[in-house]
Amino acid sequence: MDIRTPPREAIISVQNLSKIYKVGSERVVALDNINLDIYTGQVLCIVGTSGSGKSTLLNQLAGLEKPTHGRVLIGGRNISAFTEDQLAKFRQRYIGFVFQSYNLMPAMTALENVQLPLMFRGVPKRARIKAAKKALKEVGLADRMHHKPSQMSGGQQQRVGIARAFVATPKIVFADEPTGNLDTRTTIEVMRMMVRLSRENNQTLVIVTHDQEIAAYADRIVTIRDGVLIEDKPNQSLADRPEDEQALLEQALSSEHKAEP
Amino acid sequence: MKISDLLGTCLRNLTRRKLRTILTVIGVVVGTCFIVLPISLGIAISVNNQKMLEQWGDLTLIEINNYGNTETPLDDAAIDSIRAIPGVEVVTPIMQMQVQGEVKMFAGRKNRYQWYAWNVVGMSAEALEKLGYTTSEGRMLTPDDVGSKKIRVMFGDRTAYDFEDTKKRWPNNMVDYWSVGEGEELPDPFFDPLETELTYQLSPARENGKPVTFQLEVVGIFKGDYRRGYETVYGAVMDIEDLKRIQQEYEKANNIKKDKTANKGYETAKVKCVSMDHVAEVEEAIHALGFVNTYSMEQERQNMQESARQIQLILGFIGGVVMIASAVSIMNTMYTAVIERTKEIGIMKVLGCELFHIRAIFLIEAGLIGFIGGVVGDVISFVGSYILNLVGSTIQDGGAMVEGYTTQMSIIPPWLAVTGIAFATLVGLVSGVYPAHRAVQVSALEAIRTE
Repeated sequence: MDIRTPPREAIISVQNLSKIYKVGSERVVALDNINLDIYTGQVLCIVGTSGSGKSTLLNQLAGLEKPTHGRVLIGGRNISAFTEDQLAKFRQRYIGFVFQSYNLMPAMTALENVQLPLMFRGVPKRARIKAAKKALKEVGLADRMHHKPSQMSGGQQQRVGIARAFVATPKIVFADEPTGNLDTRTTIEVMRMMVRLSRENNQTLVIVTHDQEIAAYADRIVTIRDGVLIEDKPNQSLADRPEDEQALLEQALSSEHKAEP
Repeated sequence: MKISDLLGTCLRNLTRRKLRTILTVIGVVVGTCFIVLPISLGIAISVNNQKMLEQWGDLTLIEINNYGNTETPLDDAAIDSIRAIPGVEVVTPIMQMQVQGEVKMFAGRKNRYQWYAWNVVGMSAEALEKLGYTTSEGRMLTPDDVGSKKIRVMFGDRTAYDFEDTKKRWPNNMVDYWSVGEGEELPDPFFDPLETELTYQLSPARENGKPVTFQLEVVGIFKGDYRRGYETVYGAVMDIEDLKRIQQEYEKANNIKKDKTANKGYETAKVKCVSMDHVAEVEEAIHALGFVNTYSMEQERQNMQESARQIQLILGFIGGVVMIASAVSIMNTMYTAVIERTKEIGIMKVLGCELFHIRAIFLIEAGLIGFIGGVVGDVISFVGSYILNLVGSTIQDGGAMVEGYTTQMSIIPPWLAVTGIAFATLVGLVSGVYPAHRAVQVSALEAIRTE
């Protein structure tokens, strides 16, 4: 998608959003009057250092937390006013989530983990196993379907996490530091995978990270500092520039080599 | 989520922490046993009591004794109003022949065999069968027999043996039937009452009076049963109308004038209730009609039931306490599970699991613990009951409380087994309410939180 001609429809619209925590008698402003429109099909990266408020913003976008002021509209609906139950159903239908620490159910196999969102939707077993198998093949884990999380590497676990986030083809996928626990090579793999999957179905992907290199995969980079949105710039996604990516990977690998002895 | 998925998730969670589940289930098992077994003992006690009372007499029978009550005569009108009480199956007055002189029955040529007929009872023919009288020979007296020329009667099963041979001397004047050993066949009486015409003779009240005689026909012989009445063994029964007719003719022939002020009613009556449960009310209603002197097994039954109930209550109370302990243990297990699975619950919420389903998962898990405990508890109770009965029967060894019945110490009817499981499941569900509530309150943010 060409970022110079952004689609008109904002799937996510953040309006005058503030989040203030009370710690004892002190007021901590985590988000200060954020305004942001995110368009369908965009790969957006929210970048900030730890404590900048980027994670808080993601929580607001996904409806995990209520704002102190302002509102978040998704598809024109004010999710800030939703009840817990409405939010659950809303997430069930429109939202996928990739976690930093993968958050797979330890007792379940990869295949069962990927089925979870479909199970919550009430999809019959046969249909959801089919869909989950397809999703696992998409992330290259066809041979790991019956493994439990403890039997997989971090990269594999995160790929299961990605399959789980995309399996129900949600309109929006949120990713919270998705590569925070991964090495460089796996990071590149995972990022490419997420961008590719969201492109395939014209899904909106919102990634939160502190890592500028990750941000390179986004169409648009939003920077947050001290709860304030300080920069919002378009970017040509690294995933669409394979030659640059290759160079980056080689550079990363050689630096790893140097660091080794 | 589909119900099958909910159940699958719950079973997976329970098997994941096997040991804890088993320990919690054991608590419920003990609780269930402590409720089912005591109740089974109580049921056995009341069943045994009932059998014992049945041996003593008919539990649905009320006897009214109105002797000496001049205010409320137990006359036909009173009998009718007793018949109208709901729960009454049949009612009959009981009347004895009132004759000043001797009353005899004769049989055989020239009245060779005679019997001092001091036990001739009049009661309503239609009541006999319903009161539980049975025949050993011939047929039962019916209302159709009333008023026939030869008066039709029933004999007790030893009545014919009570006739003496006037041509012989003591002790050869009687058929010896009492020294017959058990299992041996009885000798025949002097005559077959069903085939023999009998004469019923009421001697005059005064000297020079005329004796009154009637011809009798025996239609059947009762099966002797002291619980029903002495007349079924040594006596004769005719319909009360026939008895009254004989009485009137006797009084007419002897010029007896009845004392007008005397109580014209019957002295006694028997009331049969539809079932045991009606006895108390019917008896009360009879008292309300003015007949306060009644007798039934009800009072004894009530007393026995009451003591059985008290034993049950005490044992059941112990069971209740054990069940509370296991409820606390289920609650503890489930609460621990919520804390352990806080992150999982958060993840489920982020992935779109509805609150209702989160609540359902924890409730069903708690309910399953209760259910499994109930089923296992029932099985163990059945085994325990079997052992108790086995031990009980060797202890009693023939000297059972009630002869002719094997006395059981513990009885578990199907309803008790079902109640045991249902109660255990309910205890599980109730114990799960609070943990499930806490699970629902877990924030979706727990999924993001990194340890």
